[in-house]
Parts: sequence; structure tokens; C-alpha cells
Amino acid sequence: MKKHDLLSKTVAELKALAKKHGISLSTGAKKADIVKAVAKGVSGSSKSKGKASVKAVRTSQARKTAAKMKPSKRTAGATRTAAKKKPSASKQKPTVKRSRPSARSVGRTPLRGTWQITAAREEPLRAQERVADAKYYTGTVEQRPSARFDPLTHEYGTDRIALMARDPYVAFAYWELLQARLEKERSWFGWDSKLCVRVYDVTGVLFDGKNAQAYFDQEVYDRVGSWYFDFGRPMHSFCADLGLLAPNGRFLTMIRSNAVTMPRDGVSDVMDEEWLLADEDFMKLYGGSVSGAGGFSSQQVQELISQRRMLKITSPGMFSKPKAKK
Amino acid sequence: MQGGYIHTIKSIPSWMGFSFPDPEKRDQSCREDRRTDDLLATKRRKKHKQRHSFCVPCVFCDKYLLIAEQCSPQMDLQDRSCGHYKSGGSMEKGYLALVLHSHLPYVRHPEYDQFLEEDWLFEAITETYLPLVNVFDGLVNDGVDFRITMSLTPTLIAMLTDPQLQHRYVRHLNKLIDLAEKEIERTKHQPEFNALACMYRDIFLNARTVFEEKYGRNIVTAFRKFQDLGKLEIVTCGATHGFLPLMQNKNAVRAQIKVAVDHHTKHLGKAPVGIWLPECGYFEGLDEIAKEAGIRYFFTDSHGIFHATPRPKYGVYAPLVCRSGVAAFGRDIESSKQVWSSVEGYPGDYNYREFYRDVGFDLDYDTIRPYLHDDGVRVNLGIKYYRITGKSDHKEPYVRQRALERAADHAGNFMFNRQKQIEWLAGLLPDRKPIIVAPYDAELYGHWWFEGPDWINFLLRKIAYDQKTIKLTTPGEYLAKYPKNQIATPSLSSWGYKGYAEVWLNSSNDWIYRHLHVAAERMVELAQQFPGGEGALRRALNQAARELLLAQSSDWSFIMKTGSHVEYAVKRTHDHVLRFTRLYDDIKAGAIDEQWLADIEYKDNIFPDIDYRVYA
Repeated sequence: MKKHDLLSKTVAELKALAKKHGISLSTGAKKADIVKAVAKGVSGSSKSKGKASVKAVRTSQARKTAAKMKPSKRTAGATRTAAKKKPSASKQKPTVKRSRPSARSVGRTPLRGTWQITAAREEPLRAQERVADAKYYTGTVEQRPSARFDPLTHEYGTDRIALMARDPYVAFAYWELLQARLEKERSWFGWDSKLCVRVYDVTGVLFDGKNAQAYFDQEVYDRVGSWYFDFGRPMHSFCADLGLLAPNGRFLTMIRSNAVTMPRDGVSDVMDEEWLLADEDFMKLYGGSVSGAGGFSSQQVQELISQRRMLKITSPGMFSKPKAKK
Repeated sequence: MQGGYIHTIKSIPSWMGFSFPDPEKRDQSCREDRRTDDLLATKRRKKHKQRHSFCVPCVFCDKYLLIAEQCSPQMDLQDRSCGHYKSGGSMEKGYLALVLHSHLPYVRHPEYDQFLEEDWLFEAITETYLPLVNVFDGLVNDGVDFRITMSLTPTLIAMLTDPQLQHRYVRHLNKLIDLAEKEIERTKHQPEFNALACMYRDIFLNARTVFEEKYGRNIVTAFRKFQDLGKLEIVTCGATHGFLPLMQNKNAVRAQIKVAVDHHTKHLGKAPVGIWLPECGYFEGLDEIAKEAGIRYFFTDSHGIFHATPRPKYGVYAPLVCRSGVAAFGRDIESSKQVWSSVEGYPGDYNYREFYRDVGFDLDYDTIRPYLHDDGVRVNLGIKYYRITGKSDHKEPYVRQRALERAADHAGNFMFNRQKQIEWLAGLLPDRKPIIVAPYDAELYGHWWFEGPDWINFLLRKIAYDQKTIKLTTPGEYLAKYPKNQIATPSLSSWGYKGYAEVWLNSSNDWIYRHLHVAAERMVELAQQFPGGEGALRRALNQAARELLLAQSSDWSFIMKTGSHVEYAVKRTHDHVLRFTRLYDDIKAGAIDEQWLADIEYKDNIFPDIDYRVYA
């Protein structure tokens, strides 16, 4: 169901529809939210009925399953968990290979406490997004006759693969490979070879094609395509090759991407001598004026405290139970 | 509400949002005092309302603390106050920098007589930019000292200074005034709606006066005026608000910043000292490019600073300096939460105006038909009669007075919390006064949160007169005061949902990067291949740069994700990429179609002074 159909309904009708599709709505939901939720829910269920052709959908599922796992279990990249969760997709199961045994420990570096200042994951930013969206909101615009525009080409006639970091864990790659090139390479490398993206962890090395810390292969099906990779390794650098993988394990690189460094997802361990600060004080700075009391709701305080407990930061007195105080 | 806060607020003549100037007096106030005060205030209020609706009565004498300019324009500024107010002095313990990021994508369609998406600009002018200008004007007239930082993006400046859009805005406004007049007539037997219809008519009439007569249809001059008065620090942004971390091409990033700085300088008379990175999107190395353009500071989200290497000593309460020498200011979590949180966030108060109920959908079709676009599809018209009321769909009529009282309360609450925050931070930052950076989308104020500009008005006046703990400042002023800062590199971050690039890179919009990256590379190639283009070649190259910049706007990918005007966003991306590709092919083949070139120069006329060699 398209969004404009939904927008023309009344809120009561929408709620009924949401109920029918089993979509839960928050109590204070505005019409726009309901429409969004319903549109998502309805299209989501209809999509899953059809063949999941879009890779992005697959990978987003993989991401979700990966997100459920505890971070420490996510060391070898979520592609592994994705394969685990989807037995039907066993064909895609990437072959995780490591060039050196020592690289086994290359997982997500266990930063002390792995402090995550996750300002961005919580609901205020959702609200901010809604306001930003309101800038472009004029009512039910989708009822208008659809705008006409010419299609874009999907191929620019060059071999190219690019890798982009989306967040500390996930990167996006897109590529284009000429048909002629693919056929030419296959003709000598073997017609039974598969088109693959090989992703290298090139953290801290001057990559020459052989010295990667680790790598894994992801079979792909289109010579013009894209893929989301859930590495689960913040602060690591990656680089991807599009190439052919022969049944005997040989790999032929055809194009190489740029290198990308995933952003940091926690507080740095590096300290500047001139600007030293105790851990406790730093967390105080992050937590804001909890001890300053005043304008905080108890819920907010609770939130911050639980967050700090999670981070295993203790500052004496602050979190002691009332009984202990007595 | 917390205990201390109630105490403060109760003693305020809350209809106007001002409190006792003397804190000692405030502390002494007991129940009796308060009752007498209330009685006196009520009397004075009645008397006052008859004549001076904009003035502020004093609680110590029978005079006015501040007499608004409207009441006695001939009076000197000093004579307008009874002298019981004294401003903060230098006793402050810390600073607050309010930052308003105002941006809209470049939407201008001369090929159509009217265009729905141009309403984005018109609504924002009526509801956000002009009310803010009015607030600043009021503060300046009343002699209130304030500091605010605002970003005006180049696309917004280009639209605000475009004669055709100015003309269309006046046309739009005239329609609204006409509609408001009719609404007054229609609601004459419904006093609560009638009062609101009158309010809207006054707002629209005032908008027309300020827009046409006071600022000659160009409100950039208004912002420039406040800048020249030293009240407003205006920073720039990416030329078309392209999300820089996903651009992957340094020359393309450089062009976004360089073009923006030049355009800003041309319209605001001086080069910007700071930049609002589009969507706060920072990546390592961006500061060096900004430095080349003469930028001295930028903003990041909180985790951009917290995750910096090495670890920042003062968190977001002091700027960091990148190795290039450019400073980074981080967003304060608490103050943003206070406004945005759905639990205790201000804009969700039940007394405030409801954004989603508009006469464009509430009235019968024949009444509003003359005010719709030619296609006759219902759209929001900007007259909204209801308040949020509650969580259900039942909505009560909006009561302006009550909403203003809440805005004053909320301003008091915000200030109180910032005071507490600063007092607490002052203990943690021994060798300097902390700065709280509170950035918001400017369009939050007025467009989404109708009472937002009033909230700002109350807040700035309260900060000037009601307390001494915090002082308003701008990042530029703070850097001048504290030039020595910790050297560190912020981490890649944005202020979008989840804090990184997911809003602009997900399954709904990831297809655009394939095109944008190729176009950027091709533009660099053209600029290097034709360093001295003249005549038609030069025009074509400049136009190619414009098309690339317009295609890069982060708005398109944002809209594709959030889904209000997806088709339009897709169309704009297609149009600009296709125009660019054709220009590239023509230039490479040496066969420029001048007629077609003139046509797209007419349509996409942003940045008339652009020099394509910025890509070389």
C-alpha cells in the first residue's frame, strides 16, 4: 500500500489497519508516525512474501541478528552470524580465511570498558529527524501525478569498486565491472569460477595484496551491484577486491577499492600528558549534572546510572545504595 | 518540574516571562509576599494590558522595567527603564552558545508558475525566519545584550536573495492574508477560532510589512544587520549541504566549502569564521580542507568530541583543536535532550500548537480551493487552530496566551537547568569557564514548534536580566577568550540518527553514490583538462559544477529515507546527474549545445560567480 493511500485515511482507520496487520503503535503517535509505521509494516510483510531479491534487505536482516549478539561474540564479522541464521542461504556462506594464525585475535579490540558515548542512538535524535522531515512536509503531496524524469544509466563503462563506512560496524560497497572484462578473465581463469568480493582487513599495514591481517570472501551475483558488510570492527581499515574465486580456492583480483577506516565507537585510550583527566572525572563530564541534581527527571537519572553501571564505571558515593549510605 | 524550579517560576509574572531581578529578594519571598505580589501583578497587568502590551512592569516600583519601542519611540533607551534591572556583568561561571542551523535545499522552478516544493521556503520564512528577525529586532530595540550563532546555508541565502522567489513569496503571503480575512468572517460566531484567525492575519500582515518594507524583500540583510551589531555570529555550511564524509573525493569536498565561503562573503560582507558541517558530518582530514578556506572552527555531535584521539580532557565543554589548528565544538547532550526528548521535551507540551492539523485539510474543499495550487490537491496552508491537547486524536482549540505562558515557563526551566549545569561543570573545569554548545535546527523554532521564537525571546531576556551564572557567547568569542585548547582529532560522526552515516546511506538511497562519485571524478577531470576555458566552454564547465553541487545536497538522500516527497528528491537527483553527464559528454566532444546550456543556466542559476577551477 502506498503512502498516499494511507495519508488519505483518517487516524481511526489507520489505527484499525495497524491493528489488522499487527503493528504496534505508541500511544502518542501522530498521524505521520502511524502512516510511517503502517507503510513500513505493510510493505515489509508484503516484501517478505515475495522473494527477497534485494540484497540490502538480506544484509539488513543479518545486521539485525548481529546486533542482537553481544559485541564480544561479533569478532569474526557478522557475515558469519548471518550465515548461521540463514541455513537456506548456505550458498552464500562466506569462507573466512586468515592469512596468519596470529591474526585470530584481531577481533574488535577490547577497549578498556569499551565506553560508548551513544548520544546518537537514543530517541531525541529521532525527534530531531522528525522535525527535519517536517521542513519538507506539506500535507498529502503524494496524491499529485508522479513527476516525470529520465532514467539514469547504471553503467558508466568503467571498472570500479568503492567502499564506504556507514558506521563503526557496517560498510557499503558498490561496483561496476564490464561484461567484456568479466568474460575475458573467466575465459582463461575458468568458467566455473564465481564472482566474489574479497574484503581485507588492512589495519596498520601498507597493503600490497598479500599482507592483510585477515580477509573473507562474499560471493556476489551481479557485475553491477552493491553489498553491505557488517564487519563489527570499529577503527579497523578495510579494502575490497572484486575478483573471481575458482573452486580450488585460487582468487583473481580484477579491481581493488579504496581503503576505508571504520570510525571509532568508544572513548579513546590515548591520553595527552598535558591534558590528563581521571576516568571518573571524564565520566562525570559525560554524565552531566546528575550529582548537580536539579532539573533531571528520575527516569533520566536512572538511565544515566544504568548506563554507567553498564560501563562499569564506579565513582564512590554516587551509585551507592541508600542503605549503604546509612 | 523540580522543587527549585517551581520556586523560581512562581515568582515570575509568568504572563510575560520575567522574574525578580534581585536574587536576594527572590530567596526571601515567602508565601505572603508571593500573594501580595500576585495581587499587585494582577492589578498592574490589567492596567498595563490596556495600553502597553509589549512593556515589562517592574515589581519594585510602579514604573516599567522596560518600555517597548512601540510605546514610546521618541524615548532614549536609558529612559525607557526604571533602572531596577542590571545586566549580568562579568560574574558568570560559564557560557552558553545557542546555535541555530537554518537550511533548505535549493528549490526554484522558474519553468512553472507555481511549484509545491517552493512552499518549503515560504513556510519557513513566515514561521521561522521572520519571527526570529522580529525577536532579534525586539531585543536590539530594548537594549538586551544577547549572542546567538546561526548558520545560513548558501542554498538558503541564494533563495532568500532571489528576486523571483521573493516575488512569489509576496504572492503567497497575499493569498494567506486573504484567506485569514475570510476565516475571520467565517468564524465570527466562534470566538476561540475567531481570535486565532485574527492572530494569523496579524502575523501575515506583520510578515508582509517586515519582509517588504522593513527589509526590502531581502531578509539576509536583516541577519547581516544583527551580525554587524555584534549580536549574531553567522557561520557558513557546505555549498549545497552535501554530506561530506560520503563524498570520497577531496576536491569535491573542497569545492563544497570553498564555494560556500565565497558565496557567504559576498552576501554577508565578511568571510565566515566558522562552519556548520552539513549534518555535522566530520571525517578526519576535513579540518585541513576547512582551514584552506579560512575557517577557524566547526561543530560536531557529542560523540565526535568524546571519541576524539587523544581523549578530550573537558569533554564537550571546551573546544578541541585539530592538528590543522581548526577548533571543534561539541554538542551538549543535556540541553539537546531537554528540547528533544519526547518525555520531557518542550515542543510536545499539550498547550502548544499542533503541527499536523491544518485548515488545508480541516476545511471544506470549496472554501480553500482558491488558496491551493493549480492542481487542486489539498496541502497545508499554514493556519492551524488546535493545540496538541493530549495523546489522543481529540484536539482542543489553541489558546495563545496559555501557550506563551508555557513558553516562558520552559525558557525559565531551560535557563535554570543550564545554570545548574554550569555551576556543576565549574567544579570540574578548574582552569577555565565551560561552554555549553546547544545547536538546533532553526526550523524547529516556529515551523515545528510554533512558540519556539517566543521561547528564544524569553530565554534571551531572562539570561540577560535574571541571573549571573551563565553568559551567552559565540564560539568565535570563546576562542578569542581561550585561544589555548587541547589538540586532538575528533572521530567520524554526524548528528543524524545513530550518529554516523546511516541516514544518508541505506537501502532507500545508496544507489545515488555510484552516480555522485563518478560525477565528482569527472568534474575534477574536466577542471584539470580545461584549466583556461573561455566563452561557451567556460559557461558549460561552470554549469557542470553547479549541477554536481546541486545533486550532492544531503536533503535528497534524507527525503528518500524519511519519505515525504520521495519522488521529488529522486527527480532532482536524476535531473542534476543527467544534466551533468550531458555537459560532460558535450564538453569532451567539443560540441556544446548553447541553447540547452542557456536553458539549464536559467533553471539552475545558483552561484552565479562560481569558478569551476575550484575542482582542479
